[in-house]
Amino acid sequence: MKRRNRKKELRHKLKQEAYVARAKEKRERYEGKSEYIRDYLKEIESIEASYNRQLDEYVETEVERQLSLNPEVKQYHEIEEIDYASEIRHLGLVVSNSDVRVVPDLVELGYIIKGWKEDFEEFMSEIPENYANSDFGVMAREGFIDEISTHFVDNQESPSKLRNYQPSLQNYVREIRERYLSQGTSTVFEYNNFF
Amino acid sequence: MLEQRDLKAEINAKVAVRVSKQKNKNSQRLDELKHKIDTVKPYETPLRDYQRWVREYNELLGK
Repeated sequence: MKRRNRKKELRHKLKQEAYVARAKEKRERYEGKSEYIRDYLKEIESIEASYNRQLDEYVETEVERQLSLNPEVKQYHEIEEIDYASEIRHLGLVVSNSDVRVVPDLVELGYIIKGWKEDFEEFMSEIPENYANSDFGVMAREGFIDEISTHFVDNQESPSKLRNYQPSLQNYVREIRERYLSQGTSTVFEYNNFF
Repeated sequence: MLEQRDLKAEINAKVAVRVSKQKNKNSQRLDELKHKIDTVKPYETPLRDYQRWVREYNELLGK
């Protein structure tokens, strides 16, 4: 903090000194000269100032031109941007570009998704066949990709939560079961009202 | 007294200094960006940062 203040003070001092030196030089230049000569000198100075401005503009364009002629191609190579959202879609999830918040580990994610699918199939194979083939099974299969996509979007910052899919699968199955049962209830309700 | 100026030499010197400074600045930034891109941390690095770094890197290369 102190060092920065000292630097600031030094810069200020140097600026002041340069300003005083320029004023002194100007005074000496005009000292003892006739009004005609002073006017003449002032005119030349203003012409030179305008010349300097043009010079700076020219230097600016020339710098840009030279930089565009010699891009840094010798030491560096172009890096191809990975479209992570698209890669995740290739792995089977339904995600939009804005759903992906952090850089994923695509290789690991591939294995994780495979594991989720295996967990789901294992669950489905363990329930009675007539139940698995009922509307419950159809609904569970239809919504599964959306379910694992949501699981990914919600837990993408945490590899341990991503890998630990069992609690999410249980919630999903419970939700589908409730929907299935309520569908059955409403069918019975409609049937009873009809007669 | 007003001095006579060698404009050609003045321009060449100014351009050379500016180009060299800009190139050093670009190289430094390219190194910084390359390092950031190479050390991206899965599950941590925000995707927007990664995309911004790659685009800036390629723009500096003139791609």
